[in-house]
Amino acid sequence: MIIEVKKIAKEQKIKIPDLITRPVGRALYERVRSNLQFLTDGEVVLLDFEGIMVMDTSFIDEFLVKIILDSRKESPDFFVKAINLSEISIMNIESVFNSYYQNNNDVMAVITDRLVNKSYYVGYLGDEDRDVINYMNINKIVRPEDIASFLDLEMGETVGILDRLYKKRLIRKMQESSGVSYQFL
Amino acid sequence: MLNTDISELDLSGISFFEPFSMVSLLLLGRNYLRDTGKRLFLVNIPLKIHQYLLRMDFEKKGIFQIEEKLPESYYLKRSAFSKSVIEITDIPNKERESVKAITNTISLFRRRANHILKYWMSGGVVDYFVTVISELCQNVFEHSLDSGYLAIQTYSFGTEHILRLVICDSGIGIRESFAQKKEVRYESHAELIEMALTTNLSSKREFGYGLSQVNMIMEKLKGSIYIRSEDASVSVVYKGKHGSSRFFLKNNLIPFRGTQISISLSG
Repeated sequence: MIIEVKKIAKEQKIKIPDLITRPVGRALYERVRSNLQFLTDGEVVLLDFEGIMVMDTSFIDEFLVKIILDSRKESPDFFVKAINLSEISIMNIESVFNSYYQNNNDVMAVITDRLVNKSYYVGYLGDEDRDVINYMNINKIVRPEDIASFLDLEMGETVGILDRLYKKRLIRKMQESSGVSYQFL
Repeated sequence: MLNTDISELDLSGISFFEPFSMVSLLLLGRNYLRDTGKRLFLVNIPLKIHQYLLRMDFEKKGIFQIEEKLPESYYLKRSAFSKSVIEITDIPNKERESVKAITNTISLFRRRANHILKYWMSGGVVDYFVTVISELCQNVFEHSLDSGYLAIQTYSFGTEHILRLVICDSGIGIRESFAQKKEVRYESHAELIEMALTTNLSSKREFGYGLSQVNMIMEKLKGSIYIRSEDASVSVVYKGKHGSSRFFLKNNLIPFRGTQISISLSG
């Protein structure tokens, strides 16, 4: 599902190019949530921020954080990718995710389409998690043994990393007859 | 605090006003009006100061009694050349009205940004300032329990160009807004202000971003921040290639209701 944020903001009569304040974040979240009920399990929600210059921290807290938390619920089980983010929006998202981590001891990150701090996500992940994201950005679909070989790790540890990234909805997990594989968003 | 026996302020000794002083004067007049039900008189206003106050919509707020009227031919022009300002703007204390005011202010700022930021124009600086305006204005309606004012101006002082953004209220102040947060411990009022500026403390939620995000942006832009709340203040000046900073904390100042913030760039 592709969600053009600029388009739905216009529908809601929200002035663009800036998405600011909590009430605006809440209004847009409610609007997007009404679309999310039609998702099928495993679907990727592409949040397209083209034409949006600034998202402030309040908006991010009410909009993006809530969508990411929803994606972690069991049904529907979906994934979020944020594309066409501006530099200032990335900086503001990082601050929100950092505060979220400090206060909840829960890592929050979102996959994106541009290189941010040498990887393709916004947020704070460990070095190994980042290496896996980078590897998967190139290879798209991987098996745990590929990652174990790439990172020179034990299988158990590798599966732990992959499952952690899956639980954060940063990569997809596919059960096939030949075993488990993971897919980049 | 202003002595309520005073009924007029003589401005004859004033030769220069910048936005922070102007908005602080406006707050002082508003506090007086709220306390006494009367408007203070402003008298002996030098011509240039009077022109400036009119240009910044100071008189339109209806806080002061100004009997000397300037003929319209003396008014400063509101042409494209004088668009390096955002006139004094109300930030209401009700959510819906406040969001509308912030959105309109940011929209106006974007239209005038080429003039306001002309000495600092580089990638992203307009967007950084949009974030700063948004974060600080939201603090007014979310935390101060009062309405406030915003003003922006770029001006020259000698050979230096200065951008000043001021956002002020006369609400409950930072210390009072944290009164219910018993877990927040601090030695002095100024230290609390510093904590609000440098950590993700929030008086309303589990955690917040507003002031700390503003601080991060000003560090990036090598600007400076001045925050005064009640009887304490914190100044922080960022400069140098690596954004080395200096914090100046002051306590036991003469109390002034609410929180007043000035953000500056110079160059």
